Amino acid sequence: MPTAFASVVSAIVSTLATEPPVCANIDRARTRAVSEERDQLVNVQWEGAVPEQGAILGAPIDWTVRIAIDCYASSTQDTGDIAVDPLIEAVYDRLAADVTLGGVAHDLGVPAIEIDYTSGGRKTGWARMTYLVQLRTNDLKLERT
Amino acid sequence: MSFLAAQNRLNASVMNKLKNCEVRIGAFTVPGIFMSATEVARLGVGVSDSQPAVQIFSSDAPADPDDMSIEIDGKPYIVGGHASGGTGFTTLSVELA
Repeated sequence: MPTAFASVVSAIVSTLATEPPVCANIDRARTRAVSEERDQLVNVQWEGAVPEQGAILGAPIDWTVRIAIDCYASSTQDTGDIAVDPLIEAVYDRLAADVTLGGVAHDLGVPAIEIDYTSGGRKTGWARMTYLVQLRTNDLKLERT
Repeated sequence: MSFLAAQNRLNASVMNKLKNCEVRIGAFTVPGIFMSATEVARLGVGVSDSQPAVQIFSSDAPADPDDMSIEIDGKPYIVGGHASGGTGFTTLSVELA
């Protein structure tokens, strides 16, 4: 059974890919560079989870799971910040529509956003949206319950 | 022969051998050496992109070419940056327009 953490990533990917998808290229835990042929890409991955343990052994454990959603967009016309802007908005709006991700989490929260740019043949913007997702696991297991 | 004369002679020979494009800067068309290697930028997991650049004689380069629109073999580009080697060649880093 997947852990609750992997389940959150799956739920986010599924939500973003629901028609119409926010982007033509949606990956999870991508480790390779985004190719020149792709003008847009979204990558979703979890980067850690911090437990808040109860005082009673066996009690449910509340977790804060750090989920990073990277948005990449390149353009020959627009600067990187303009190129990636609609993608940031599309991801935010799609996830804000259901902050429990269909019951997978307690609360998605509001993301912290950082952004950076590069220029080569095209101008590229990269934005990282970091969500601190609240969820609970039970029975001393990491599965989603 | 002075060093400058030798440098100019060598640069002319290099351009003669390696020239692979015509660069239109304003009203002038000058010879150039165009290259466009793919590099991976350190952005997130990395972003692959071409890094187009063209080398021209420094004497053909405008004083402040940044943000200038040019054409390389008829294809439009914008000059993103420039660097002079100090020995008679200037490299214009360009972006697709």
